[in-house]
Amino acid sequence: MRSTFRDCRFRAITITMATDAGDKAFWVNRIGDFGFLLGLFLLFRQFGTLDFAPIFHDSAALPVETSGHGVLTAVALLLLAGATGKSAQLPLYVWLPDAMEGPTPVSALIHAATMVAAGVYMVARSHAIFIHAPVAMFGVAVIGCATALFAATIALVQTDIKRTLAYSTISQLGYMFLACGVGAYGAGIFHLMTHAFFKALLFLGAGSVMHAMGGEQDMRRMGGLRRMVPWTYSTMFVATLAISGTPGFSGFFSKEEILLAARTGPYSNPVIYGLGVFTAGLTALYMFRLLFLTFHGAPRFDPKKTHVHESPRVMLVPLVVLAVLSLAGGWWAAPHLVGGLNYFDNFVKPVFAASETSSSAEPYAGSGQLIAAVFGPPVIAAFIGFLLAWWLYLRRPETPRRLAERFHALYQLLVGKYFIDELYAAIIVRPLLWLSTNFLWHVVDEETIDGLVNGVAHEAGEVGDRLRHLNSGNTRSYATWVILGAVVLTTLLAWMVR
Amino acid sequence: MFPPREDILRLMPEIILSLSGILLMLIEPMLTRARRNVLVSLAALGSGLALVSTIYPAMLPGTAFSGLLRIDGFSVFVHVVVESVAFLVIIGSADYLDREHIQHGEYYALILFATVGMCVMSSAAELMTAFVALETSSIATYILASYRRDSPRSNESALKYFLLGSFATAFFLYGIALTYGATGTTQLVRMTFPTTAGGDRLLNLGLGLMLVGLAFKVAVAPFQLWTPDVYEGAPAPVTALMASGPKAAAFALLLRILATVAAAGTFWFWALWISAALTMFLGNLAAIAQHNVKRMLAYSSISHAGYILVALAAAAASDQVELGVAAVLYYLAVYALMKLGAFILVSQLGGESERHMDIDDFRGLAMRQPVAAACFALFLLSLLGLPVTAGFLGKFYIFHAALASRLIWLAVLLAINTIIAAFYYLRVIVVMYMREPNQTWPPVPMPWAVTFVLSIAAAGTFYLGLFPGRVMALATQAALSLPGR
Amino acid sequence: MRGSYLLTVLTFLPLAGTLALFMLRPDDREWIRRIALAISLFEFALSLLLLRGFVLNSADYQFVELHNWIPSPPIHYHLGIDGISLFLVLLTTFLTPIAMLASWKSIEQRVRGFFISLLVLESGVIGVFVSLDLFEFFLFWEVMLIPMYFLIGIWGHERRIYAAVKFILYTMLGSILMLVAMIWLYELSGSFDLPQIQNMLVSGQVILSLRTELLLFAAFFLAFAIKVPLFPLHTWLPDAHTEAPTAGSVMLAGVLLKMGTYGMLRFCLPLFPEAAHRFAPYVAVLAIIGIIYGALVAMVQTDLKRLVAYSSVSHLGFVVLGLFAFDPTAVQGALYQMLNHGVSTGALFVLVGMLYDRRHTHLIREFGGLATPLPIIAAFFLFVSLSSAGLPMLNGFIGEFLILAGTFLHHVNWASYAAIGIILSAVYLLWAYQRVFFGEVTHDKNRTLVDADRRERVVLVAMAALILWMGIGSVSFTRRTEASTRNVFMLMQRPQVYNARAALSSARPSAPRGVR
Repeated sequence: MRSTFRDCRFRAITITMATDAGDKAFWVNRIGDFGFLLGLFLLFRQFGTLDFAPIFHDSAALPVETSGHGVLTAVALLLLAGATGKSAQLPLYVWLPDAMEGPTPVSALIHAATMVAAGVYMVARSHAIFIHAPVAMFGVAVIGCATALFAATIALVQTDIKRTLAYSTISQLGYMFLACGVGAYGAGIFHLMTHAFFKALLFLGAGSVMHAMGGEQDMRRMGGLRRMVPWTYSTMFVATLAISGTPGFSGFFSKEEILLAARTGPYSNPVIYGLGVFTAGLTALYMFRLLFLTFHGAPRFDPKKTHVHESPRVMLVPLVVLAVLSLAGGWWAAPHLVGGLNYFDNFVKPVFAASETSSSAEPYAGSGQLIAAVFGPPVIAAFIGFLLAWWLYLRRPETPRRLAERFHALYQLLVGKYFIDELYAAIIVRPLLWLSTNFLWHVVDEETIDGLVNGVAHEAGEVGDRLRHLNSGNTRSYATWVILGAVVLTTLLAWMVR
Repeated sequence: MFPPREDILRLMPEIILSLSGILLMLIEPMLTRARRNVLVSLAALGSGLALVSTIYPAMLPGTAFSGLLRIDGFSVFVHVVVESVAFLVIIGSADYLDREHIQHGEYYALILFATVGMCVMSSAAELMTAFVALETSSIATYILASYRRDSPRSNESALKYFLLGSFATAFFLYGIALTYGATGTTQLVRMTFPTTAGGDRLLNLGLGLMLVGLAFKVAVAPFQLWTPDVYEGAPAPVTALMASGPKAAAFALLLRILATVAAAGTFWFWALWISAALTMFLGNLAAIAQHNVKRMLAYSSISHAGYILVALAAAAASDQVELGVAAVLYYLAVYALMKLGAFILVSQLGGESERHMDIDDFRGLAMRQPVAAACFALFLLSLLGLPVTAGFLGKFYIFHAALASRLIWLAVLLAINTIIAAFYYLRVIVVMYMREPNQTWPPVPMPWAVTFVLSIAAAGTFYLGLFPGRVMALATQAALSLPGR
Repeated sequence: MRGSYLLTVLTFLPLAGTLALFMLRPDDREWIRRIALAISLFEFALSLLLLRGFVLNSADYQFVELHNWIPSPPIHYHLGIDGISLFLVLLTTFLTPIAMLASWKSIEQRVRGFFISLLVLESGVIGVFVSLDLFEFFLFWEVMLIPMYFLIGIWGHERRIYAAVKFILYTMLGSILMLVAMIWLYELSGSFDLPQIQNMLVSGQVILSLRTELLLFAAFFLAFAIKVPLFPLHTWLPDAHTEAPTAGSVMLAGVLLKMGTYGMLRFCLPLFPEAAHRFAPYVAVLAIIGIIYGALVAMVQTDLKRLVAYSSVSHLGFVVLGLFAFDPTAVQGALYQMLNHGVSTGALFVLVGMLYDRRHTHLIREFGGLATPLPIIAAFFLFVSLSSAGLPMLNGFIGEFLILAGTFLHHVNWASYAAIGIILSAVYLLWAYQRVFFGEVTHDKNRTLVDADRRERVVLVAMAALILWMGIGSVSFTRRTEASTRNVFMLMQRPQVYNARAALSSARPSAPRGVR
């Protein structure tokens, strides 16, 4: 089904003639699928079935593979490979930014909410396997964390509004993986849900902006739109607050749960926690940057040339709905600790019964120290990010450019997205094409194999040509052969047969 | 001292053939107009009657003329083959002769006489008789080969054939002399025990020389060099005859001698084995390089003789001789049909004075004359050995015999040769069907006589390709009736 | 069903139909086409009766016909089908009218000969699938070479003669050695009848020495491997496909190639199981090389038809791998993949043919942006490409998945390497699709092309529907093939024979058997 999913998306994207992107999406996902398939086969071989229930049931009886060797670890790593491709994690994320070429609503749907969620879902669903493979879980966490950080750094310097959101998506997906990697499966799914709200809102909002600007996507040519498109602005502002993890908004609760598990759960890891917090700061930074560049400051375009107008109601209503959800959607799932209903947690608890750790917030109940210790760092980081964004893009707008000149190499690296695409092209794509064309096709197929075949035929002809010269037309030579034959025959007869 | 009635009956086909031949030669001066129809009718009638009269020998097996001849299933089978060939060649040549303006009674008479020789060769039980029959058929064929008197090629081929043929026959005769010296008799059945001292060696030597002579006749390596030149030069219908009839008769005689006299031993087997392999490859490989259709078919004949030798080798190698011999007989019948059909067709399509005998001249024949092209394709595919055609079953039985005698390697060589042969047979089909016709001469007419012959050959090819049961049973019976080991 | 003549009718009806065509004038193109099409459609309808009368869960041959034919050596006219051949016959009868429809307008010269060749080809191929006598099998096997040879050589493209001759010589080489093996087998068993030989081998009545079994297997396998084609015997295929007319390619890829894998399943495995086991690793290596190599070379082709030809090498590598994994699931998958490949690749060739009809070229660089003038063709092309690439919900996925799953159970590394093929198959197909259909229209000539007309749409819809059905409703196929594929494994078990053979060889030293 995942493949069909992918196929529909492929078509949706490629319909708008973003052909390379469509192909790339397919191939990169296929690489992930390769791993996924092998994982499936391994499961089939081990358990004799591919149904979730029996597998999870049977795997519970197997020991935990702490050493990193074992069927379940292999399976988990292979499944992880598949999820990596589908949910655009390192190193198989390269298709997602390119897929932005598609229409914005498509991006909103597929990249915010539905398709990329499949990977996370799969990992979460298979938690029973992952629990038994700590090495794999660690891998999940590492990949998620690395991806989150990696993508956030790239998002810092992008100039295209949709691309920024694309990398933001990758980064947030990294968070979800991180959640699964530290055992907070419920939290990962929760973040998936909240992310859907605000990311979809952001994309649609971006679409609205682009619509208002007549198709312009470059943020350097925007600015000051906040009064021209107030509805769009305010809803996007809400989303920005949510994604930055502002307390009270949905994103706050989901991100906190994740980082909580990273800090205190049975799979916790201080490095991962630290990087997670740092990334939270980056998130706030680039999101507010986007907001400020797009909506604040003086317009960097000619208002008379580009007639900016607010989008029609039909486009605004979804924005508002999503904004409400981004704001309030967290409450009904937030832990009791902070007054929430903890509905979500209870909802998924039965599923993750074997591995659920997010409820470990309970021991801290009522402690003000908790609030500071656990919830503090991410919020502080976010606030720092917000301040930086304000400073760099509102207060001293020339600073970014100077920074870019000072740290030119670093800047280029980030703008070039670490040149991963180019790396892949050089290391994998081009050599493969070269190999296939010159070696496999020309040398092996044409010259060697076919050469052999044609050569045999040619030789037969050559021999025949020489043989026919036996027939010289000279009668005497024919007679000589007769004599020769007779002599041989009779000699052998006389000699051998006694 | 008149021979007994049975003997006359046993010889009935030969008698009819001789009488028809003589009659033809006598009548001819007296004909003025419509000579062709009379001649052909008479000749056809004669050979047809002879064919029918083969009933008599079939019903009266036994020796005739005090042991000079032996009529058995084997000789009857070969009789039928040879007489049918004669019948078809006669009918098929008529228009050719008209076209080349060489319509004479001698032609048909010579064919009939040659057929007499061939028939007697197959039933000879005594070596001098065999020699006479061999010479009869050979000399008649020499003359026939030169029948296009105006063509230097024809004359050259006939002369070569005559010289080399006589040379080979001399070996045969010398071989007879030695065998007589060794055994004191020229009757085959009595030849198994040498009487004089050192007779063994002498006997084998004599056998060897006789076989050299016969090997020449059937064109196996290394005695096959005359074939391409002679087949190319002779008039095409004569080539049709030469390619089918004398080969069958000579093989028959060869079989008879080998079966009756040759001491069982590995020598003959190995000689046959090597010769078979050599002949097949020489024939097929050299054929690839040919441009002239008749020459190509000549080389193909050489290779087919090689295939038959495989069956002979199989017979020599096992106790179940009849498998190999039956395969030989079946193949002779099949091969006669195919080659006959091919050469008659080529004789008609070649044009006046056989101008268009190059493979290239057949370009796009399928578009100009689809039926003729289809016919030719059929014969070629049969020669190749494609299933559904007689050629395939012929090869199949040879394979069968070879593998029954555990001659795996030889069978593999035969298989490889089939592929090599496919190359040049298919080339003609390619030219006919897949190339554009580049000449604009009008389609060659197909007179009813030729059509008749070709239909019989084609029908026979299909029949023998799909329902070999009857004929194979006859061949097996014939093989069993052969005296000896 | 005893007493049924359905198989004889199915085998010879197309042949008889050519008589009807002979009665028409050679240039009466309209009626020639119509009558030929009518005959092939009628044939297809008749073949559906096979489905109706087929008994499930029975591995016996059905619709059997047995008559004496040649007394010595004993050869019979023996026909029958089972789960393995049932769908192959149906595939043939389905693809023939498709091939005819696809060539409706594109064959203008010697039309009568063309349709006659197609019908004769159909007869020959069906005959191969339903023959139960070795001699008869060989007969049909060889016979069907000739119409294919003509189809390529007469109605093909520039290098058609080279391709046709290469095709026929290459194939014949394999088959003539197979003939030798068949006759040898007869010598050992006394019969040409496949079920009889099978029984004799299983029951131990006839015991083949190991050397014999290996050689016989090799001979049969060679013939089939050339046909599949298996690397490195594959080089005839790209030439044959590139030069053949559309109908020729459809039949070649759709049905003829299956004869090779069918032969492996029908003969090599059940008759010579020990040899099969010993050769399996080498065969698997070749198959895997074929999968990857075929895909990589396909990727860089500039000619669209050659690309599809190499993709066949890649796909059929999967099939061979599945067969030699000796796992019921894998074999089922292999059989299914045979059918899939026939339909999907057949459809691809039909589509490529449609492009050729319009532009008289197969070169990718001559196309570009064709989705604009040709949306319907573009859509179907995408659909079929995805099917060929193994997208779930479509047929290709089922086959590949079953093969890989089954193989994985026994040989993890084989399956792992082979699975790389699924990545590559997406690459070469979609990249080519993109270059041909997406983007801007690069040549002005392409702007004014006409999209699929009614006839073409009928063909495309029919094939697409079948692809979809095979993807979603594969059960309707597999439940009929299951019994027979399991039976193949049963036939491969011969414990008592191996014991006997071991006893024999230890009892006396190797007897010198003069093989000369």
